Amino acid sequence: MMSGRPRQPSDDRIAITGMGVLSPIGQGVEAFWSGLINGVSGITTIERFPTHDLRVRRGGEVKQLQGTPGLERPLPACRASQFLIHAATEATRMARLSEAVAAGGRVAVVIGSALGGIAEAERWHEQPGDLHALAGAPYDGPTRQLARWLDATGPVLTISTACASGATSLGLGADLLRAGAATAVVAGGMDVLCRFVMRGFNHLRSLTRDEMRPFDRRRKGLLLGEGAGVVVLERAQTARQRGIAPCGYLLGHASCADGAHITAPDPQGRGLEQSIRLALANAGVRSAEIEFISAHGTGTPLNDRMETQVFKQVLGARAYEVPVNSIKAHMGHTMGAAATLETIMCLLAWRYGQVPPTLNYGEPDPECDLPYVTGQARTYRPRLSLNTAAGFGGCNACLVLAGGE
Amino acid sequence: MGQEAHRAYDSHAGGVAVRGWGLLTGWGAGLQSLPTLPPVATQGQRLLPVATPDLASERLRRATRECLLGVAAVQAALDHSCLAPHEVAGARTALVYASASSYAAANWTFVTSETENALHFPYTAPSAVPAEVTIQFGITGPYLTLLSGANAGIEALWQATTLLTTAQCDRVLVLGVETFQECAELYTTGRWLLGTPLLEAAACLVLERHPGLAAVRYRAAWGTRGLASLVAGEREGALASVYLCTPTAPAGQVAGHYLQAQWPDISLVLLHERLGFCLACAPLIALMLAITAGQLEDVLFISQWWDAWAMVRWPESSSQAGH
Repeated sequence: MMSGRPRQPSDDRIAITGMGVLSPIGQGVEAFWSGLINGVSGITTIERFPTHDLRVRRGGEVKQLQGTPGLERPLPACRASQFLIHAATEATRMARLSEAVAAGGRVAVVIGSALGGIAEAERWHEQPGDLHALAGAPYDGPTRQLARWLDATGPVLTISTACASGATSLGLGADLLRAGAATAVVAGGMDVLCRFVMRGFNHLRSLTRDEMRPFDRRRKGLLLGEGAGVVVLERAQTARQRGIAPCGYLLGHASCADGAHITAPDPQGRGLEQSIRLALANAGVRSAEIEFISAHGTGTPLNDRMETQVFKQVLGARAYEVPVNSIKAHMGHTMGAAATLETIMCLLAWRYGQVPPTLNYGEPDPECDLPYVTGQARTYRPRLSLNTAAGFGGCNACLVLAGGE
Repeated sequence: MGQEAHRAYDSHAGGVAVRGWGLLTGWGAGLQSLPTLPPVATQGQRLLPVATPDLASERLRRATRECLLGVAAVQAALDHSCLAPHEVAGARTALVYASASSYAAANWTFVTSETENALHFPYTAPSAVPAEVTIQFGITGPYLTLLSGANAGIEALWQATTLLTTAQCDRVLVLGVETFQECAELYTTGRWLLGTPLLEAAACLVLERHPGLAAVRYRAAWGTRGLASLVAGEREGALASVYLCTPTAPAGQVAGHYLQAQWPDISLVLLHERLGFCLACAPLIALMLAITAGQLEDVLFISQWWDAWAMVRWPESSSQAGH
């Protein structure tokens, strides 16, 4: 018998009061949403570093950072920190977080990343005199930069569950609020493209020369992307007292291990299934209540088959009724950012009553036979969503989300 | 896989107990290998490396030193806890991993390598160490890695108590691994980042729910007034001692003076003076030492990393099962 937190009284929920996005298909929440709904692809030839020796030279690269309203001070040189600051500035303005800080609130920062400051280590290797690059190279370098930028006063945590990091960080943020360690949490995920990660995936031959095709019979692998997604978490009661209308709620979360393989998912999906069941219990939500699934959907043969199987195990016959999508084909797998961006997508789907399509889907796979949203956006307003994520090392995570009221 | 359940969370009031631990450091294996008195006799050594465990495992033949240390520390903790490996397999055991060096050795090797090595890349991920542990012991429960510098050890203890008191699992392995040898030149170059001697370490605590104990309290703060803010909230109740884990000696001295001014009568332990700097492993080792000391009152563990301070208040350390 599994256990977790109870169905929460309405004012014990964790509210999401602000959202910020930096992605290959758009900077800012509205541009991101427009790109998702309109099927924009952010996959391009990578231009920022040499790729001549790589099998695959394309990915979801952010070509140019535009100005973000409210961001006036000079940014740090670290690209990952820049990404975070852009996204966090948008999210904190939406949440009017400065008002909460002025009223004595304790702001925590929780950032998930698969790579941390590794691009800075590359920069240090190329320019050994730049001690700022060395200081930014640890995994927690970008998180510290963000905390400094925000003048945070509460806990500052960096987590990694590889490519599930952007979900686990939100869960940890919720735990901080429930523990009373902070009154607001700026949480999210981030990663940047660099030679380090492109070379690594190149060696593993996990990247496709084709398009990413989640759940399609022709799928051959993934493409990498970069970006940042940040949300502001608060207790629902706090948000209400501040007069903030939440974008949605994080009802439950869990991160569990496969215990199977360093780079491949457990074919039986034990860790993912455990994560979903524990997150549902944590939320006090029955699987029968789930209305939409934002899948990890990397377009690798094994992941998509395993995820489909797990959704059937958890939802039973209802799995054939619940819409599923993957937005990774729009922008590549943005690693640590992915699950936070997908969380934001779930809340926007509720807000706008539309579910973005899974791009590049054309041929059904008998082993992936769920009602994927393909072709174009579907008119549908999912109140309760699951967001699943997985990563190297058998990391899995699941969030249970509810749309705002 | 278990059937779907929606059991109400009934606030498993109470705390957690330490069932046992495993420890490998540059000083040797086990708590008894640690030097007993400051100052530490390192004779100018900048780094105290830990020996690579010989696990004689075909499956682990490609694993990096960090992974081997992680597996060996967990095995030692299970032995100390009188637990067979099969008892931690499955979904009711969680693994919370903490590291400040965060796989810098493997990453730096990959960044600087001239030769391409497909096998090495998966081991650059910080999830590689806990992954090898979960694979080795068949753990499929809650799982995460904290990389917040030296504060990650405190955060791991907090997250472990959260997982236990919300009944998301029955047992948590809190594991820390810190290695420096493979990229020692980086730490030398950035000597203002960390103090010396750097002590390599792998430490694992086995935690279980214990309704009879008071709750473990976690607090953290960022900024120049971070330590003062933590201390201000801990004036009530009897304190036996404070274990302070800082990344440099000067930082330790400043914080130590402040703490002694606040609590003149308590025992203050500057962990680095006794052991060297082992970053995220330091609070885990400090907890082992506090339990062994058998103090009747609460113990505070405080760590620092740049502008960030983290703290756990551990109740009644003498009542811990590991004592």
